[in-house]
Amino acid sequence: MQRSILTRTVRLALLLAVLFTAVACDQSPLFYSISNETKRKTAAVPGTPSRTVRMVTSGSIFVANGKLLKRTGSDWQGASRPDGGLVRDLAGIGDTLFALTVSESDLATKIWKSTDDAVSWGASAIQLDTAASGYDSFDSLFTAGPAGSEILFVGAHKSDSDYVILRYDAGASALVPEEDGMGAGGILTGAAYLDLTGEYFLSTESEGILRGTTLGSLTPETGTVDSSFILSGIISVDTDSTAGTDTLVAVGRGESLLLSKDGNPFTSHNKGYIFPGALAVYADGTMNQVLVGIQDGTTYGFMEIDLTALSDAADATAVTLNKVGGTSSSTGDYSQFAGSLGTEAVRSLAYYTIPASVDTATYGIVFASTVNEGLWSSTNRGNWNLES
Amino acid sequence: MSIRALRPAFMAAFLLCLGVFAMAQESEAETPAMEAPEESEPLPIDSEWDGPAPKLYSKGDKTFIINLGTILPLFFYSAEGKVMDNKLSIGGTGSLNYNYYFNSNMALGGEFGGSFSGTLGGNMLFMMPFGIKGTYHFIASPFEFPVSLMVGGVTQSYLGTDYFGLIVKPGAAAYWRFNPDWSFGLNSVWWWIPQWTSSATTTSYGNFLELTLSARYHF
Repeated sequence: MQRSILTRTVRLALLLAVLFTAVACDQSPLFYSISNETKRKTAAVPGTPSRTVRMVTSGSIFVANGKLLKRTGSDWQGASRPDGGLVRDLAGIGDTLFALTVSESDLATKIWKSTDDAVSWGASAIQLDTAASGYDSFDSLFTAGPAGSEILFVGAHKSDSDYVILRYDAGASALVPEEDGMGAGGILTGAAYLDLTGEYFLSTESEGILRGTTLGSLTPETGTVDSSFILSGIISVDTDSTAGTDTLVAVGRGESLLLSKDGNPFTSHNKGYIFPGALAVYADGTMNQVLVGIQDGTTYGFMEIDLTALSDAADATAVTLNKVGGTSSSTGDYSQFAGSLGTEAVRSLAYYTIPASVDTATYGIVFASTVNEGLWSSTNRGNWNLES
Repeated sequence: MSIRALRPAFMAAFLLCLGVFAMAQESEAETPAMEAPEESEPLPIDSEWDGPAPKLYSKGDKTFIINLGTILPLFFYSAEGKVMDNKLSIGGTGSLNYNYYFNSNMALGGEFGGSFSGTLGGNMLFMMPFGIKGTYHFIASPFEFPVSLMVGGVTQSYLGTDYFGLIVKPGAAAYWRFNPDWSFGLNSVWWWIPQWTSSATTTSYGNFLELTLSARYHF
């Protein structure tokens, strides 16, 4: 009896061993991933940074996390702020840097302009046109337009239910209304310009994507006005290297991805990821990807859309989001990414080629601004870590 | 580290405290009934038993064990034979065991537990092993030195990704018998955890050392 139980137990243990061995083979290698982790550096830009902005002539890169910081070469240093307020958002057109500041005392917001790498700022903030009177609570800054003639678009509101999009043309004296009379869903979340048709596209949370060639008369695009989208960003991309940008990708917190090709109407598809709105094009001549910030349970960071595949995609349903990593990705090693930036919520992405005239050698760098975890980067498809 | 991640450790600590509390209650309950001997001289009793001394354990005895302590990540090596960078820190572990004795030295039972270990990148690895455990006891009363082997499964979780596979845990312990119901000791167990994948590069074998304080209830 005793031997029988022992024998059965040993047999059961062996059976379990065989069973567990059999089910194990196609699972993700956790120990391997852990062995590829890297220690986080001390953040040069801690907190929740804004988008990065690069000046065309100097090559200086700016980011704001309350303070304004400037990257010269590979070093981050504090830059002068336009007033005593916290810098909430940045935008750049050519060599002009725009900064949205918030007063710590009365929460008043202002928009400032510098044309000399933030060495000096305008004597006064950019004013509101009388037609935009009262819309002095600024939320966000975006730029879009033909190369060399971009327009600054500003999301603003008068009250919690009265939103507006303002426009600032180069050389103009004041911010003028681009679209007004929008409700709470009228928060400006992105701007893009399609070279192929010469149209502007402004995405709002739930008032749809405003579209048109003539500023001042943009209209909501059919099929994009859906409160479930909760649109968070839009980007224009060149999928065929001819005639400039030809495709638009918009994303939303409602898990939808919207696609418009060659100026055709948008199609949408639920991709099963929350999209915080971070979008960038990574094109180094060999790897050509659209980087898309994602959130899925405990998985964060970003995924990629291959530009060639995007060119072939008939509609949003056919767009495939790929994990980063591999020979055609913006990031070489997925497991290192997964254990670093892949754990953080990304609010903006940007890719730049840094010329040897700015740093010691030419290289490509992707910046990722995270929520509460600082500014991250990856150089030449290498490991992700905090900018230090 | 999330509270949910510490649940196994909290549970083990709670059960450990519960056991000690129960033992204390028993001792208090027994004390009034005992009468102190008037003199310390041995009682004038001659034993008529001339057979072998009774064994400490016999068939049907059972123990319930609570372990709580640390887990040390030792090393990983790949299927290619390379030692991989070990980027885990010392973590916490706890387990519960039930054992049934078949004779004076051998017991069979089951075990389940959990562990957590931080990583270099600020992430966390969780493991929840369970399995069948065989134990052989070397006894030198009031000390006992059980050696054991557990074979079973382990659910591992890291960055929202799970891996379920085999675990083999050879171990040894040293216990001091505090009273007929309780013994306490130190427990050391090697955890061998293979992670087989379709690639020899990513197939890896994890090796850990569990060092725990152990409370054992006999019934």
